[in-house]
Amino acid sequence: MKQRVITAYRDKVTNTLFRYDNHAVIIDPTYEPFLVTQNDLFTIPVPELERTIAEFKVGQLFVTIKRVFLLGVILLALIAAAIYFFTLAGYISLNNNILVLQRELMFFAAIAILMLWHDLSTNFDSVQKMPRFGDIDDFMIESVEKGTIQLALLKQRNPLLYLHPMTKQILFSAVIPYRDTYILASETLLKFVVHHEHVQRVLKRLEIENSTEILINVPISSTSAPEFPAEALQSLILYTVEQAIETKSHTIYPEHILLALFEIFPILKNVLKQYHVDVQTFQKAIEWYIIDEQYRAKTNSMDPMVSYNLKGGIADSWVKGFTFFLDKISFNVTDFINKRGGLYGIGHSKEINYLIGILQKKYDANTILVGDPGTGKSSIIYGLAQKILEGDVPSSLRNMNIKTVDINRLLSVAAQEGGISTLVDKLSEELKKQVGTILYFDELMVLLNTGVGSEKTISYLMPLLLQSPIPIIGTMTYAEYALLEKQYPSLLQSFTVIRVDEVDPSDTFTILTTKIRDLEQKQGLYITFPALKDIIDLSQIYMPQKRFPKKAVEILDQAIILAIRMHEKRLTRDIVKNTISEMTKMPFASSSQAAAQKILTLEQKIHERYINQEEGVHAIVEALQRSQTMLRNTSRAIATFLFLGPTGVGKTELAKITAKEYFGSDFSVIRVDLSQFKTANDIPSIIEILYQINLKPYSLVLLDEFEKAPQPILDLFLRLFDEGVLVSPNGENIYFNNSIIICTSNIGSDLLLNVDPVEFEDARRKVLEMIPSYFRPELINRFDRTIIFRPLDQDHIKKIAALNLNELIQKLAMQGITIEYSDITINYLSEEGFNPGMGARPLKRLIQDKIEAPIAKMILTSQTKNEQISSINLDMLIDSAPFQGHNL
Amino acid sequence: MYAVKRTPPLFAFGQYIVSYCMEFIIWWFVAVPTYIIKSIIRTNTIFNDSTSFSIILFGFFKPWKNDNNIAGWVIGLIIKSIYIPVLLIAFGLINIIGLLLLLIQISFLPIIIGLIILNPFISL
Repeated sequence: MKQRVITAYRDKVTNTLFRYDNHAVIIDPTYEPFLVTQNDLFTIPVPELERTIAEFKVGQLFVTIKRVFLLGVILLALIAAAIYFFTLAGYISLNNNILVLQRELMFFAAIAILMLWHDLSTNFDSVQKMPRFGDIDDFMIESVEKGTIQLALLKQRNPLLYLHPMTKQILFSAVIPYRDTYILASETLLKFVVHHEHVQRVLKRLEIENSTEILINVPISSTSAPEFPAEALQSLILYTVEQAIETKSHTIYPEHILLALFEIFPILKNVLKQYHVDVQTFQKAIEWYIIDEQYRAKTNSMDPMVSYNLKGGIADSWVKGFTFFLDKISFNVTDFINKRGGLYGIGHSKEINYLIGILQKKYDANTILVGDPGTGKSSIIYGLAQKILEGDVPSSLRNMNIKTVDINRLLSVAAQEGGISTLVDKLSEELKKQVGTILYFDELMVLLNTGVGSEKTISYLMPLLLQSPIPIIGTMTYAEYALLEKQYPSLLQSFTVIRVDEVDPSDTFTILTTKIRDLEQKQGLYITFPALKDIIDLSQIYMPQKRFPKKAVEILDQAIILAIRMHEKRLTRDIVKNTISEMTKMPFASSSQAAAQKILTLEQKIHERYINQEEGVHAIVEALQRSQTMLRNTSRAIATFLFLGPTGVGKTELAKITAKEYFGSDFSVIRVDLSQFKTANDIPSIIEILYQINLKPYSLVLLDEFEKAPQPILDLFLRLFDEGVLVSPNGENIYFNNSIIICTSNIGSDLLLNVDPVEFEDARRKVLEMIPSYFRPELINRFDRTIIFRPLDQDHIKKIAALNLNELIQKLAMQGITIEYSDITINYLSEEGFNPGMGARPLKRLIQDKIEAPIAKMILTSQTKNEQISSINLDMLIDSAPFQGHNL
Repeated sequence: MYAVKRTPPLFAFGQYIVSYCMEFIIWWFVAVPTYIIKSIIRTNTIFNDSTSFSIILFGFFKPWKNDNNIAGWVIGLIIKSIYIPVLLIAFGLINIIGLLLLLIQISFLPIIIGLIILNPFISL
């Protein structure tokens, strides 16, 4: 991991250097702690520390006396001035000596005003500002570790100059006189720090309620944080410098003391853990406040301390040329970014730098940014515009304007100007005469494919794109790029392709934080950091098919809408969980009590509708419980099962019931009957069916008749079972990591057909031994469990009959018909519907023929007579109905 | 044995007064003039940017609106020849005012101290 600071100490006796990372407080006077960056050295010599403490102690009293005295002088001078002018005007007559004194008082008052001004300008900021420090290179790290570093060659920096006046106040107020020296009271220091408004606002942002009492009551005072001798300040201040550098701050603020205390007393971190916040998030929150304040300070362009972005001015076009037609069909991205502000291109600095390199080329300075939707291709353009505005580009790109062509405006202006061809001619002429523009086409393929046949925009734009006098940047997805490469290979010769990868989670988190201030102002909501962190963490697991940063931004927007709908004033973790749950249709156990209760009682619920096969039900429920509590491996499917057993024992039925009870409906099953697919040519058709998972990521995938699939199709599932990913023919990843995959097969059903319950284990072993003759070992290994379904006996059939009749009762109750039956019906169904080895299917057909069909007839007959059937007795129905026989 | 020792209060007070005076003088004669100079530079930057002065100056021989023909070149030369002197006068005024301010600021403290000393000898 890259670092910007190294902590080390020097043994003054042997003059040797040692590196240490444990944030120990050094109090031995023979050791001198120091801190190095790539080019700088931070130390606080003891005499400097002594002087600062002494000055601070007397300074507190002096400052108060000084201000009262200066204000007194000014007040007296005002009175003297009034009297003086009355004397000059002749209203009062005074002695010359008094006049001299009055004048003296007024001159002193002028100096008093200057002194108060000095107080005002130095009391609100540090004496000096720290620069931004880059990463330390390996050579530097090695030289510190080996103790060979030449400290004299580094720029010496005094950390005390970078302390914010409040930080100085807190640090030195905790230093108490003790005999002929001073001591540092850690507990007092912690109290001062925690009560500071900066720390309070960070704790609030982290959803840490009642933080003050909790942090103060952490038992650090007795053993773990004793009162240190004042030398401890050297280490403490250096650690605060380290934290300030890590949080990219130019000044050392009170919150940096708290971060340093977290490192010195790790016990304090437990408070954060109680609130599920880690130190990194704490650090990020501090960093955000600092960056936000620095950013807001940039609004006054007259302030010489903030950078000024050159805009070109009123007479820019006199030299650069005028773009009448281009301005009609485009808008200026550079102007837009300048007015809108914000930070862009976060996480894409590599791509932006590459793009800047290409844009400097004299010829063919054209680029296509290719990446998945949502990876931040447009933000690269905005990032480039921002760099141009800040002057952070080579001289050839300074003052450039990025103009993006709007397709709707292009078509509308083309209609007015006599067609696209005429407009493109005019544009080409205009662009030849001007410099300083970069043309940007967002979704280039959409523009190129507008129109039909020879009227397609591409046929008109092709000459302009091939011989453009100015740089052109376009964006497209991989699929569009593949299409372009196939259809217009010549076009790509004048373009350099930049691949845009997904932004990493840490950078996405930073992107979300840049949106906080705007969103809070617009929506009147308070956005907490743990909520943002949950957006990143949960979307990684539950929305793998979408890309960072767009998916995170989408969730944030949706979460805000939900918070407003719920009349909440704060966007918290719970709202984020509910939002993701709504967006993905996935219940989170931790998002509500009801969801947790649902998953705990799922096994019981399934058994209310499903008889036998306890092992299968238990395996599925266990997998779902693991998935909801995030204990599972999220980079593969929730679980992959192989269900084996004879026909009709309930393999498919279990999948369907699980889908209905847990995933919400029967429609949550994506079913592929593999017996229909005979060759490798059928793979695209299978993928087409499985593509539905992108719309319903939280589904149950049922691969029926799995053993009947040919080997090439089985190979397709190797990666799916292992990584939860399938690649579509156009190269798009289809993710299954929030689905359960169930493969059903009839392997060994002959052995299981009439097996005696006592001999089931033996039959089961034989069936398991048969599997390798159907599937390759690498495929078998990818199943989480292979479950052998037991054949159904008559008792099971009886229970299933009762379940089926209950379902029928519910359906008829909706039509106002009540059903009555007794054991006669159940016994009849279980005897007639039982055929060993055929499972529950004969029963189902029997119910259809003997019960459902006659009832349907009765209802229709009554409707023709305009009568209403109120009740049906099934015992009588099966008695009266002639036995028609049913096909078993 | 501790390295950091307590400074006697009287000595510390003296030390503080000296340190304060030094800090005040550095602030008045270095920090404030630096700020004024930076402000003058910033005013120049903004004026230059808003009026496109440097762009026009460096593109003095480029044709009007980059229209590469004799007419464009002549028109460009004429307009820019009128525009640039006007801007130069404005730049001059901005910088003279800025430098006057700087002069007043730097001399203010010595003048006041001088007046305090000479006051008994001045008669109005």
